[in-house]
Amino acid sequence: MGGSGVARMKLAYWMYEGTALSGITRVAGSMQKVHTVIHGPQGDGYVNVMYSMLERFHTIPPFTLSTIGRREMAQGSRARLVETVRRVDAQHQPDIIVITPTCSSTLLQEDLLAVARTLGKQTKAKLIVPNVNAFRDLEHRAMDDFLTQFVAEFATEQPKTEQFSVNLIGPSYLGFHQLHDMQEIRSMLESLGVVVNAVLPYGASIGTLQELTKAHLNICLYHEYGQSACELLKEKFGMDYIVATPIGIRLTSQFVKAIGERAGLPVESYIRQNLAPSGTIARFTKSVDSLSALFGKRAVVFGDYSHAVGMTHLLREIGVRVVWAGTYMKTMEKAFQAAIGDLADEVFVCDDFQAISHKIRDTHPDIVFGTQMERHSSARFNFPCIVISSPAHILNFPLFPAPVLGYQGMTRMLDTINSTIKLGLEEHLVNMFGEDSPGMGEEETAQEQVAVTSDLPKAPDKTTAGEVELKWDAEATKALKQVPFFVRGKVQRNTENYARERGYSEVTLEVIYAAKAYFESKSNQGER
Amino acid sequence: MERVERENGCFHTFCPIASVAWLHRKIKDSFFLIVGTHTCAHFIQTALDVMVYAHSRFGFAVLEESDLVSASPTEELGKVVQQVVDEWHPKVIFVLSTCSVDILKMDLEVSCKDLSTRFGFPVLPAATSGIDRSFTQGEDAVLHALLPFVPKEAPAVEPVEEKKPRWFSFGKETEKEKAEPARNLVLIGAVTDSTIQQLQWELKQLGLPKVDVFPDGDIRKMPVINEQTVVVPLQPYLNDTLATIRRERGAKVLSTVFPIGPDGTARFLEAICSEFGLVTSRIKEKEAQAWRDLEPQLQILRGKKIMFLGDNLLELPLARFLTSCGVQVVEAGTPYIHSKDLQQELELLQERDVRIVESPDFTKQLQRMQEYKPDLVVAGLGICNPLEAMGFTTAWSIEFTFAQIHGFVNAIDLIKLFTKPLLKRQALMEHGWAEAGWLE
Ligand code: SF4
Repeated sequence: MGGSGVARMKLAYWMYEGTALSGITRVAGSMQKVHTVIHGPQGDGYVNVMYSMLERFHTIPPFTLSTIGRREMAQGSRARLVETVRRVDAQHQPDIIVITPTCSSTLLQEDLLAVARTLGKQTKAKLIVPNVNAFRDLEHRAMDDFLTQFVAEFATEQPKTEQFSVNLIGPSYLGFHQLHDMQEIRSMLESLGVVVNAVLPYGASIGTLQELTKAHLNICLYHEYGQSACELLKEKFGMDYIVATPIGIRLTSQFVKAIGERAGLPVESYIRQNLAPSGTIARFTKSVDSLSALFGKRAVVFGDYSHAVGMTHLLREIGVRVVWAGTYMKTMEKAFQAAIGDLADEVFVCDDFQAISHKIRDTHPDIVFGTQMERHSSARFNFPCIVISSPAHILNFPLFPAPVLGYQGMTRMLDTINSTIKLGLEEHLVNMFGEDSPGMGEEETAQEQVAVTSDLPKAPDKTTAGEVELKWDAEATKALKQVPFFVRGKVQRNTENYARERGYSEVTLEVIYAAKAYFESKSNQGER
Repeated sequence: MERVERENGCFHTFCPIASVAWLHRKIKDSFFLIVGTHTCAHFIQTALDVMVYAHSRFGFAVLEESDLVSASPTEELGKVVQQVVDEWHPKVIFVLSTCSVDILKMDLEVSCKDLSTRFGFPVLPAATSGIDRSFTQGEDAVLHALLPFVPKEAPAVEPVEEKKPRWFSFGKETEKEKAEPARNLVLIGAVTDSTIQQLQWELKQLGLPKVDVFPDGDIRKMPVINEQTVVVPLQPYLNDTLATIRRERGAKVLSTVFPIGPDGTARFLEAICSEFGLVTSRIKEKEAQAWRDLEPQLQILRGKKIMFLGDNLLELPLARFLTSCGVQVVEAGTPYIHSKDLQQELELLQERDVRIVESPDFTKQLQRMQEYKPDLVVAGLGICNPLEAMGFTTAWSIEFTFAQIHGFVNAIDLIKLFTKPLLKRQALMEHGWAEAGWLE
């Protein structure tokens, strides 16, 4: 950090972009035979949790922590790092070991490069130190730089493939539906007669990197990262590239045409076929139900650059109005303005979670398209919400194919919209006659009200004739209140039955606990 | 301690700042401000997303690069605290330090003192850096920060008289209780209100009507701790808090096992009763009853092999409980062992020949797992899924931190955390998964 200090503090509740560390591990962790040594404190091993939980990894994630602890603070951490790298080299035998800095190692001004230089002569694996500032850089910037570093290191001049071929730059673990997107783009290209030469970083190895230049075209699928690597391949090897995230009708057409032009292939029929009256997209969009359910509805859109731009296009293509669209990618503000300035009533670039939350509240949209955080905000204000961008939660790591890109991606998005907002006829009826039974959102509050009014066991209404009414003493009543409302009634009934059977005249803590032990041990089916 | 092995500390666990997840709910009207980097914030939101929501009473003072090297962080911290005050109106703010605060040697203690004066309510520093501590010790740091709010004397309106404690002087019991010594009992640990109620009820049955707990959810209602106080920890990781109580308050810290499982709860209650001169004979019967209630689960567990990889510092008490269930604990890995505060647990485990590994090496554990072939592995969130794919059955260690596991009544919930994964595996095998071939 040189002579500068750290003196500024900024209040933040949530982060939209991940850290440089998460960016580096997304790139390295998506590749083959690449192991990452994280030089940082114990807690920085949390990247394992993301791979294990969100991606439901079935192998131990390829990350090893070189722990900076109390001892390393006192005696220097070099020895620990050297030991860890040697161990990883021997145990995992990767082709590449990435030694990644963390905020802590950066603040400690550790010279990882120097360590790699000396150590690299002894290890079988090639050692790479990402050229990033782990303290300052954010996820996408780090991914962009690190991909470029990889490409610069390994790409070599190769003869082109016979058939027109492309490289897909972008798909990686922990991205938003990115692996689903990759499949969709692959099948799209197959229909067009274009070959995929390589994907980067997902599944790439040193060999893949070396053979990148066999392709005729690089396709950078997300605007947030990957373009610098394409730029480098253009400069060094004269490779052409496009940057495009094909979401919705127009952006997908542009994407397909751009490829068709370069490949010298006809693409019109592919586009026509997908938008034909018989196709799912047209049938949905043109349907009468969608006229009343969607046309003119007020939506807000917020996300990373690529998904916010794409969704804004898509929504306009199905007749939804975009009251405002925003992104947290502040560095891309100008491009964002240019891309959707004409499509949204207002453009809002901001990375302050609270400000966005307040803006949603004040807008009162019919539907929100946002990240996991906007989902939280929308739930708080009772607006329907669809997550369309990172940061996302486990719900957005679906099992069934769920692309965002291309025509399949659009079809899936229409389905999601369909199941999220009230459909036309249903809404008409509700508006006319009022809600019949509580809807999904209100169910809980309704139940809670019931629970509050019938809260305490003063006069149990279920008492059948002839039964003695049981008294609950103060402590027992207090304990009952602590039971979640949705099972409280059941607990009360069970406890009273238990008490009656055993001849208690009053419910005390002793009775509650004994009843609990009795019923719990009876239900030995594993549910808690 | 000779029989405790020590390894290189390369294992999977959480950073101590993760304890905000339960502490911000336990202490009412509080706000937890974590002074750290982007990494700390990203860690919390990815690791704890399942358990916390966007509008929780905690946030981050994110350190940013600046050309200005300011001598004290007070001014910058003050601005952030002001924003927090405007939005949340907390009665107490905990300022949690992190690795970067340690590395930059920022003095948050002094800043917090200044800010407490400026804002007129407590702004308390807690040392929760991941360099120094592991996962649940974050709770230790926060309780330690709260100690100044624990009064040394009962409030003047309610003087504690010699041999006639005020709290006994209401109701009919006054006469009977006259002879009791003026000592109070304080249980320590951030457990749920319902767990506290259960433990208080048990002790009341045994003749101890007044049991205080630290921390109380309300910062203004912390119990008195002084030379007359008997302190008993509920959690095994509160070592700094206990050390300070011993040193500064002269209170007696009872060394006992932890009230986890019927056996632990019984020993815990017996130790308290002996200390207060109460009859302990009823406890045995209660323990026996508690074990009888667990019988269906015990049948599942007996003879099983269970291994702890080490994560949340609850491993030793849990391993001890399992040995009492007839489980063969093949290894109790744990990040750190405080030999004094865990002495009794250690002794019991060593009597029962349990292999204890402090600060384990995950790679070696993986090898040992192949040898032991445990029926169940208790592991951190970051590795459970891969272990399952390798054919092991796992329980998430973090569940034990979030579940109510103390006392007789909760013993059923505790034991089910172990039986549930085993039953699930069995159920899957009975319903189609035998086809897969890899899950025997
Ligand atoms: S406190 Fe340290 S270990 Fe914890 S998240 Fe922050 S940098 Fe990582």
